[in-house]
Amino acid sequence: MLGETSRRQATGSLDSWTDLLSNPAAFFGNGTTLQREAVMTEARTLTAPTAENYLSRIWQMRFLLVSLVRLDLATRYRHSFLGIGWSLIRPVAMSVVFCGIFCRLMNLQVREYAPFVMTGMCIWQFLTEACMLGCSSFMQGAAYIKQRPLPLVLFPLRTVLGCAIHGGISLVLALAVSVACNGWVDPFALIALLPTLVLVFFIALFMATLFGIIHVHFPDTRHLLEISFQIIFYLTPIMYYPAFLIQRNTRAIWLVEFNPFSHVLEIVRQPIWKGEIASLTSYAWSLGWCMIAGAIAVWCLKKMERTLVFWV
Amino acid sequence: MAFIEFDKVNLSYPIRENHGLTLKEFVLRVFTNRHKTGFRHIHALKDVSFSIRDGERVGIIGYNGAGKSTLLRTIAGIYPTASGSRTLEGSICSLFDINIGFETDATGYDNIYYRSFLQGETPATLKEKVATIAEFSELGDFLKIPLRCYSTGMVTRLAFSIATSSDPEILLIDEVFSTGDIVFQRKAEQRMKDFLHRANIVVVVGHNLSFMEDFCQRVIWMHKGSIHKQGPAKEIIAEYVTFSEARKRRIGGETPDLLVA
Repeated sequence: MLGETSRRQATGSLDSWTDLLSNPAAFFGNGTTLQREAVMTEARTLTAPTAENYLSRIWQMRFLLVSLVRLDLATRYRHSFLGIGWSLIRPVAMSVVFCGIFCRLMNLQVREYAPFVMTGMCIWQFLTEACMLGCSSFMQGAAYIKQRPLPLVLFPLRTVLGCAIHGGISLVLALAVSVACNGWVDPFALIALLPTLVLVFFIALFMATLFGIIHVHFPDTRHLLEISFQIIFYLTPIMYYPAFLIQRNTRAIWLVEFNPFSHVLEIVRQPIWKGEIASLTSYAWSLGWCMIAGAIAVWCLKKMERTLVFWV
Repeated sequence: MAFIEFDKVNLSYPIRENHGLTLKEFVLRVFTNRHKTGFRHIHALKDVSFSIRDGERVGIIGYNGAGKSTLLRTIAGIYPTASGSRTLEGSICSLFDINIGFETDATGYDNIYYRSFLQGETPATLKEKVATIAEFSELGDFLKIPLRCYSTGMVTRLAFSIATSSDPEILLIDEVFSTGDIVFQRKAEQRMKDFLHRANIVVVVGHNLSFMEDFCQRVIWMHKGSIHKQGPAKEIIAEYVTFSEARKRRIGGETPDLLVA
């Protein structure tokens, strides 16, 4: 047996988060779900996985999930000098360039434009990154899928959680820019932002799951997505104000009204940029998108849950 | 009480010549109106029925491509059955290829955690275990550096130490592993024996017939996706040996059977 000190080393830095996770009773009121899969019959866990059962299986794998997310964060910028700082630099650099160009070209106020474009870039980057990386999420988890029957949503969840941490950091920076430019943001708007971010997270998760499943069967998905996102970037009010299109009453107004990306951007951007809650229409669009993507993702997962192992 | 029961289980899976459908293929299919899908179905298990009771050690033998590993993966619940029923009770530990599935960028310690979490362990149950795994692997300070700096033997050593540390009721093993250097091997043998004794049910797949004869009471002989024969180990293995020698003389060596449905 090893001594006390080396045992502590062995458990290492895991203590901080595992302590929180090992006591689910405090959060959920029962600690029984922790038990290992003691009985596994065809009827219970394999042919007809109920929603509750599925969620509890995800919960059983929470430690693996968290470890993998941490590993992804650690390895993503492994050999780089700035490390996680790179996830901040991209939206910042893009925002600086846009500020430089648009503020001169169109006579915009830097104080107003900078937080606008920065927040937009953060959300855009989170959504597109989740979809793009989501494509390879099942392939990435192939070694695990082939070893043990696991709830498959675990793998897009791993990807999206990683993206969310990067996105979260850059969003905090965007908030800081907004505060620096326009003074304190309305706290009520910030509280309303929390459920909004949960909604955006689920949109990203469902999209990542969908594209992951499509990508397994159709490996060109990633390239198609890359091009599509580049086009959609210009069609979505990220670097120009949505009001531009509305005020001028151009035909291009549908880019704002019928573009789900534009609405999702709006519900996150409005509280940070203007300190107010976005319109109900934008919320309705976002919620609608989330529900439709969720329904399709759940349907696909139900169909593919057990046969995906043959394709990865 | 652990048990495994298969009743007329069928399994077929698709194999694709290319990995996935490319855009080019898709466009060609749409324009040429040719509906050649580029993959076919392999009927890998045909009406497989058997039952394994608590305390049994069972070996699965057969030629390459006879469906041995597929059967093991179906028992583990990794492959879905197309029809038939699969009933099973007991916690499962499956050792298919213990060297794959490691995160090479993570340290040895972290990999112990990942593997154990995958087996359904929690940090609370792991604290003691990690120390014993680390001790058995004899990797010392190497456990603190990423796995990509390890030699192949060291990875195997770690994999073996982790794999044999669990206490499953049902143990599924594909091929008998080779483990690192000789000194380690003697130690590994003992640990493997203990590990095999702890489980209520052990199912082994492989070509090591002398091991099977010693270890298993019962052997299932798979041939072209269905059970050719099953019964007492000695009897079935003897029959299998005569059969394969006759077959070797007839066709000159083993050829895998491709089962196209």
